Amino acid sequence: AQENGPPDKVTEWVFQPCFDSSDAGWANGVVPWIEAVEAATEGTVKIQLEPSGAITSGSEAFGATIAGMIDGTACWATVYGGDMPEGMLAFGLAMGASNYRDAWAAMWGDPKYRIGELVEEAANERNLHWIGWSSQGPNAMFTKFPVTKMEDLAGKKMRAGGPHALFHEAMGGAPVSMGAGDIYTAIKLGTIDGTYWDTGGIDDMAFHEVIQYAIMPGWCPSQHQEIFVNLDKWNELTQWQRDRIDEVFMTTYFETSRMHMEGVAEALATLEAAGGEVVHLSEEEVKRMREKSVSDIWPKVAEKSERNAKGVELWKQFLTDIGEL
Amino acid sequence: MKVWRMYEWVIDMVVEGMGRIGWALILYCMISGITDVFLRYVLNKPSLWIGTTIQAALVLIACMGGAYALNKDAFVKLDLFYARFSPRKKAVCDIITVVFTFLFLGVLIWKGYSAAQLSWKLKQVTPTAVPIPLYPIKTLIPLSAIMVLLVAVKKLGNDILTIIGVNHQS
Amino acid sequence: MSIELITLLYFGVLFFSLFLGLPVALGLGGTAVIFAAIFEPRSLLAIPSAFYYTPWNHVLVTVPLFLFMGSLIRFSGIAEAAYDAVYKLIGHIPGGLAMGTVKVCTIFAAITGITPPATITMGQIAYPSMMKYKYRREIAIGSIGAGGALGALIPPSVPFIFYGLLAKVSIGGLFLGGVLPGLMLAFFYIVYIGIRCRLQPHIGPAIPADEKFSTREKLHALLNIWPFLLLIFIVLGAIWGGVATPAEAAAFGATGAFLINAIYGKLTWQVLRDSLITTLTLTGMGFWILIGANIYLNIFNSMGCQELVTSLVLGMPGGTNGILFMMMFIILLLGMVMDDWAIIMLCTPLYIPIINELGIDKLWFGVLFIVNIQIAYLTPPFGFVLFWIKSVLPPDVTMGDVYRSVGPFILLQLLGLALVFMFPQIALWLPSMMNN
Ligand code: NA
Ligand code: NA
Repeated sequence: AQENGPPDKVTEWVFQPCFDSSDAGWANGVVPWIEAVEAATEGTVKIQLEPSGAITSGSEAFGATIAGMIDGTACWATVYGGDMPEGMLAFGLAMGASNYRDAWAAMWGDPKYRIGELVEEAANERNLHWIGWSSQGPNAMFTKFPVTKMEDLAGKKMRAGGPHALFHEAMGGAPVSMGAGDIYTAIKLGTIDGTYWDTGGIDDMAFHEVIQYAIMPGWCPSQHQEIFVNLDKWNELTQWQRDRIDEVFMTTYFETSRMHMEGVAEALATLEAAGGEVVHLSEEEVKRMREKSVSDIWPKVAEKSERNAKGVELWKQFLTDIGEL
Repeated sequence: MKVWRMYEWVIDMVVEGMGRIGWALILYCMISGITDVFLRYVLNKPSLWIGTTIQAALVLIACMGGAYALNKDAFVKLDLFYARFSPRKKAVCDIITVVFTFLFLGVLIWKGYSAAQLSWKLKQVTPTAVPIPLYPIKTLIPLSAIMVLLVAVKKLGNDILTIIGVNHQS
Repeated sequence: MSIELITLLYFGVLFFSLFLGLPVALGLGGTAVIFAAIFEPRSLLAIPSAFYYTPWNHVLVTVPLFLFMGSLIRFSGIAEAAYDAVYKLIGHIPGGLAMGTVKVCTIFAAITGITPPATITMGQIAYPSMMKYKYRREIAIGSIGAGGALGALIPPSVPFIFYGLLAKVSIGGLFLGGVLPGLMLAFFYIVYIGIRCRLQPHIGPAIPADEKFSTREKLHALLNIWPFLLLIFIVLGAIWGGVATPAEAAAFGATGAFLINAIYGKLTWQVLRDSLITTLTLTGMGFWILIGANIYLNIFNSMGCQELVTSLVLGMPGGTNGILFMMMFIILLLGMVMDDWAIIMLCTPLYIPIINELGIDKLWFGVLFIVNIQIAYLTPPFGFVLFWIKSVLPPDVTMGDVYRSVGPFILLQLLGLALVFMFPQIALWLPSMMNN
């Protein structure tokens, strides 16, 4: 092996995301990233991808990567946020960045902010390296009732888990926690009035059959999925391999984020074809919701850790600088 | 012999205690389940934590119920041939298969300890709006596995006593 | 060592340990640990992980709560009184109680999304009553087992939800698709019991001719059925009225049983204590089997054995039907050692690309899939319905008794599967009606 080229040894990694192969994060996220990594390292890093539940459950995949039971995972901070609160800075804050280009600028692109470094520090402390990133488009409200302003959410029972629940509560709504498998039936039978969900995934869940409205840009206009690898496994690579993988971080971010946006357009078209309606909130209304989010919800993210507090400040600065706050 | 009976008695007492906790957890699932629906349906003020604590209660029921059920000999067996064996033959089979039991419980305790350690290190909580700490639950997993192991040892001891002809229980 | 050999040994060692009388839960966990230690030591961490994530599941709360409900009305004697009443009303029909049991199981299937609740509740309630009226064990156990398995097929159904998510098929469509096959199977069971008991009256004896009940007695008997009807109404009403999710409705059932006991003045400490003992014992046992099954699956996957499934399916001769047959056969095999969701998680991602390639209707395939899982649950030597039913029945009932009982019902299930296979409209008609 030479210093400036591929090593003779092929490294094999086992990855298990927190989601299964039907999720948009699979074909539009982790698979293209794996292909890019394998190509960039000239086949010296091979990644075997297993669906959630194969080796452990989705909720355990993050911890399993830390412990070295698997080599890597792709996950949302809405799942692993209890293990590493800094993940929420990468996932996206309530009414945070409006699109993936802005998100990139704040996290990595503009040297003034570099919020991503806070997340990487937190990951390193947990024996992880943050190795890939992808925007999955808006996480939004899917309802049986029309929403044109904040007040329309008041008193409505919506399925909402972690950060979505904080948002819904801040809007005056009644967040309901329930298992993903119960949502469809619960909306259909009127147990709840709607759900918060990944926009690109509503057709997979067949929600277009039971809801009437998609409320854009949602509570998190650009939500993200992160890919982490066990730090020891990362350090076992040669410098050349690490450099090649670092290079695809940005290119796959933009490639997969674009793919996700196409998926979002498709999912919304499916909803409209089923007789549903896509509501786009006015700029003014988005601004009102953002102000409410920054004052009521962001402090809750900030209080989780010192890095979170720092990260939230930087996010505020960024949105102020681009005129959205 | 006296020491052995003492051991059995202590195990029975501890497991009975775990059983009481298990009973309370079952009642908790029932009462909080109803309360959750009442808060949401009648008052339109859904709870943000009841559902999560019910999930936690289920894990704890598995912790408490394992030793409890094994001590009551309620673990289902495929007694197709086994049912027809003599007590002595059953005891011999039990001693052969106890290797599986000890390996399984041993790993559950050993790796369960590592998992609990990691959970403490991460200060692991649920990612729900009202975070529920997970490290106490993950600590109870290896601890309750130790209890199951002690019950398994009790059974093994009785099997050995049966083979050497001291025990006359079936 | 080749994957084929590892897989064979993996199943072989499990069978060996279980036939020597090792409890199912410990056999699953022990076998997995041995193989993980040899072939993939780092996956040993999956063992505590599965112990945590398996019970961390909303829908499993139905297990302790329906057990508690069933225990309360059984230990207080309310269940027995209700069955006595049913006997007065339909006891003149040979096998009437067993047929009634299948009907109650069918209603139960519309209450719960998974299989165990109906099996364990009816196992506790119906079995002692049928024994009291001199029914033969085989018809009693068979009707409870087959009826209980309907829980996965008749909506709401958790297996359908999992399949729908992974295969990207409408969950509403799948729910509708399961209705007719489910009712058809229930109908088969009832007809079978009726014919069998008419031909062999000693299996499910009718009321002796000299012991007829008067109309007055029959009317009075109706009073004893109301707690039963009320419970069904509470649970069904809570779900279909949009009050509670299927998982939450179990708490309604348990609370309902609690209150009914109180109204009857039968909520004694003894009844409560016996109910809690039964509930904790059976839940503990059942959860440990589910945990063991997940561990077994996780280690199976980490050794890379799932590749074998794909190669078996694609290597099958006989075109589309050959491949479908092999897929169904593998589901049946896996159904011995894995829980429904585990089979679905394992097989669906492997099967769906093949199904798409062959141009097979995914909704129809989903119904076949779930009908088949039901069969897998009941077929010896292993099956989850078999485990549950064995655990709630008195200790003198052996696994051999259970095996003998389910045979005819498995044949009826296979008939049902064959019919859905030959006439896809049984599954597809209702969903297509709703779409128009
Ligand atoms: Na059902
Ligand atoms: Na089976």
